[in-house]
Amino acid sequence: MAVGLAAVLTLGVGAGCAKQESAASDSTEIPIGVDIEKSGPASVQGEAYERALKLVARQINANGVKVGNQTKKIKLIVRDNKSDPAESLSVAKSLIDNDNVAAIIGGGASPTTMSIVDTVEAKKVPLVSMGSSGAIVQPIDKRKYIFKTPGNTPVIADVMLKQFQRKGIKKIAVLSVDNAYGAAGLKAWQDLDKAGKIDLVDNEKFGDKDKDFTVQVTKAVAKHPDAVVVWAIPPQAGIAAQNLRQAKYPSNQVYFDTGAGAELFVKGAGSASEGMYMVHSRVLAGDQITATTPAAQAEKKFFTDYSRDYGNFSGFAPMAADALSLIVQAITKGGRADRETIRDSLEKLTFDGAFGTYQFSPTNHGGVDESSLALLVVKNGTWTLTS
Amino acid sequence: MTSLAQFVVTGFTTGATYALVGLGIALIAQVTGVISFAQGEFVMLGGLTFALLEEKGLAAPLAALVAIVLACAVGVVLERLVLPRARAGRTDQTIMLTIGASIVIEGVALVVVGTEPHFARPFTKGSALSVGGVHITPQYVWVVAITAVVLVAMWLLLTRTRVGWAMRATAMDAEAAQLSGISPSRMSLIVFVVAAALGAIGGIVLAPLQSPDAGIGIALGLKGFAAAVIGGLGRPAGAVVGGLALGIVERVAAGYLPGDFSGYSDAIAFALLLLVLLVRPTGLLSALRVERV
Amino acid sequence: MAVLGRHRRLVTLVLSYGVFVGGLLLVPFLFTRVHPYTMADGVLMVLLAVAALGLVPFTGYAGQVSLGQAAFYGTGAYATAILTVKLHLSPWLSLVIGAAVAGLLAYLLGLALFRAAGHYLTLATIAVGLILGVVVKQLDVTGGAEGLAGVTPLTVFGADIGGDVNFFYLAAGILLVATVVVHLVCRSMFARTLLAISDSPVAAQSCGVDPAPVKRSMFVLAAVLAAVAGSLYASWSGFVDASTLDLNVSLQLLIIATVGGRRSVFGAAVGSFVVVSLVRFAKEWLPDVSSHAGGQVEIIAYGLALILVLRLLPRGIVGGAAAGLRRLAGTVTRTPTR
Repeated sequence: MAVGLAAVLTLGVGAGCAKQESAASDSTEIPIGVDIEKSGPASVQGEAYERALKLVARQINANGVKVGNQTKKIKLIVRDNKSDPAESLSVAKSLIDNDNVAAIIGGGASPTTMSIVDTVEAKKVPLVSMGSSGAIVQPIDKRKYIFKTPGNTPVIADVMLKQFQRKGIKKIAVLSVDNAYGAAGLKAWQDLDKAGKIDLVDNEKFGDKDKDFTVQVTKAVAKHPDAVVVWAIPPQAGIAAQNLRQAKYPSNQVYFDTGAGAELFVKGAGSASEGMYMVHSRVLAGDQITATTPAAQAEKKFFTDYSRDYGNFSGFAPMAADALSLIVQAITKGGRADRETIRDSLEKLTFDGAFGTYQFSPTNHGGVDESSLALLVVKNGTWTLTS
Repeated sequence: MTSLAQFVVTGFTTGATYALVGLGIALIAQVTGVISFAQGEFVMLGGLTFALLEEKGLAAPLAALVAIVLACAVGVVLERLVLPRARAGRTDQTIMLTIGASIVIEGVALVVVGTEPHFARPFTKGSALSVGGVHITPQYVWVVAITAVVLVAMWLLLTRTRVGWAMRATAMDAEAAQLSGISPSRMSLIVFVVAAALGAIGGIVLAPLQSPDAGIGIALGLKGFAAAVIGGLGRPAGAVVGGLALGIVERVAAGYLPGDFSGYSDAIAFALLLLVLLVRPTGLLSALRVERV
Repeated sequence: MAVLGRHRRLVTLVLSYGVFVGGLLLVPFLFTRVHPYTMADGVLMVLLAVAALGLVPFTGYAGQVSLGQAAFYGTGAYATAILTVKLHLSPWLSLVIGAAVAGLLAYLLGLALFRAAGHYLTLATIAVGLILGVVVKQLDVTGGAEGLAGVTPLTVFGADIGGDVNFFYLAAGILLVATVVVHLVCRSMFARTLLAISDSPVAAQSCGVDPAPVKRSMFVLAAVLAAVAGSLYASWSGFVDASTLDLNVSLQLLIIATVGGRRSVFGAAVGSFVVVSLVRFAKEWLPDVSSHAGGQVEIIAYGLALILVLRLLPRGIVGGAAAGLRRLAGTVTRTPTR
């Protein structure tokens, strides 16, 4: 019994030592940890993130990063959090303790970010998340090291609300996925309902692994809402679109959050999505952007580069692309690649990224501003800007 | 009222798959004494293979055939290579082996296919029919019809064929059956293959409605298990009734939960299972249970 | 001879605990130096070992398969999170309360369920875990779908524990105490009854042994240990969500106990070391092998480990090693007399 244990432990030592030598990192490289959803329910996002990060890293490394008077390269360390909050925590700890990263990009969604913010904050590592929930960056005094690229949830809801007011829509139903991301969306609408700005007649939740929302859609449609708002990511966003069409709900009264991304078409909605709306950065209709401002130019360039490298564009890609660009900008501006410098420098940054314009400040760590967001509509199978 | 009908119709289609899985579990349990936690993976294998081949342009009937054959082959591997030959008194070991097999099947599917769901087209085109305000897509009709045909075929197999008799004899008394020349080992293999095919068919008919991915097996297996237990593990008919009942109760109850409580709908099936286990652990339909020594 | 036999048993006992403690003390040394281990892995390893330890008497001796450990692990984790975050209780008090609640839950479940045969219990515990997992996502007190962050860290005599290495020593101490407790339980008459039950329930029953109360006690013990581990996890990570109640946690614990050895108190620790190592190395190396392979391949390793151990080493690594050692010792002692 005893010897067995000893043997196992010794085996572990031997196996481990062999790997240790190769772990020594090159000082001309800046290690940046990536904690994303390569598997699990949110893997569609993870794939787009990884592609975008590799694309941007390649472009940046072509010229190198100016750090003081040195030129360094970015080294991405990409780890899978399996779309699982607890796993994300283990990934983050390992990136910090093991890989000694200068900054972390991730988690790719609200649930996988919420689980790590306390730890990352305590360890004083700058983090740029792709999650949208406002709780990621608030309260700001406990989120000194935490930043994110997507706009705050209430900002997105506000864009929709303006459209509702224009169209005279008063009664809405919300369908949301039952996780931190969906909960943030639902809460934004419940707050607007309490404030008397909209009448929330029904809200229905579905599990993040559910594949059929016929029951939820039937219930929501039975309340005769003027519009149905869906807070879900693909492929579930696509299933919701299909179920709504099966229930003969008019498609021009369906609104999706940014999370529905571009994959809405390919991942199940197909023709069912025709005429439906989504709030997203303009970049999603990248081919229609007239590049007159620096912001629009950055968006168009990323759209073109990504589409060229990977075929079709993904709405999630620019969120991760900007997370990396922001960190690199912070390093260049701060002149050093250590954690404190990156944090301090991020907080002063104004940046025109692929996803929109960022104006970070000591009171705002929360993603692109409202000017970058637009209401898009599906026309002939592609996202089209509404006027 | 139309809402209720809509919930029942929706629940019936999901329930049909639960019933097919539950039937497989009940048959295996009866004939071999093995409690298989791997049955949900056959639904995944069937559904995912079908959807994948269909996406690649293979004709639907051919895709379905390939999917069923693949599931049956995996069933053979599970029965022959994973489970031990001598199983008496090793219930806990066999249960854990089926769990291990289930994990490996899922893992291999994940590596081969990836995590993304795949989309099969409905068997026939056409938009949803409206019957008195209830939306019924043609696929719903297909699910019900195919399940009914399979169940009738199973009933005929069990009651009208030599193999069926042998299977039932083994289920009643394995030793006596062996003495009269029936090979328990052969019966075990047959029942595992039949159960794999049942699961695969359940996965195939459901694929156009609920795009399958590599991870769906565990949840469907548990629901199928719940179906078998609710109906009583002792009789195949019980599993079928249990499955349909579970599917319908799940959707109807979800349908009548107020919106603010809709998040609880995922717990309904398991709450029902727990209730049955607490009140009547031998299943709602079974009258008595005999423990083998 | 009997005296000698007794001495030999004592020597074996002291030796095995010596190696066990030595192994535990080696972990910080190993995990802080050897890539790609982290000390977080070390902490997780010990916590999983504590949670899986309860399966030794329950699965190994009572012959019950439990896939419900997550229900109690999660109960402990949430109890600590709620009591420290919402009621500002001390994390130690929260740990005790969480363990008590989990024990009570297990007792009540056992009361209702042990009249039925084994696999119904498996199903019932899965159901409880899944239902709790849904419920905690809905309630405000459990933080809803977002989970609860900011769990109070543990302190020892008012001092912060500070760092994963110190937390490891604390958790390892708890593991050692738990191991001794489970060892005593397994050595008692109790355990012999359990073995009888496991070998033939009906025969045991006909001899006048009522298995239900014994199994129930084992079930409660398993639940309490899982809750303690869950509670420690909450204090350590600072964050709790519904994934602590996930079926995967139960599966992982069952695999740990089975791979290590279901009938040895050291099995849980060894199993945990193997499984945590498997996961860590899979994570480190698989992306190099195939960029497409994420967490997927890791679970194949899990499943294969379970199948292979069950088929080749039904008593797990520790059980198999012990048998091998005994055979070796047998030949050694027999040689001179021949």
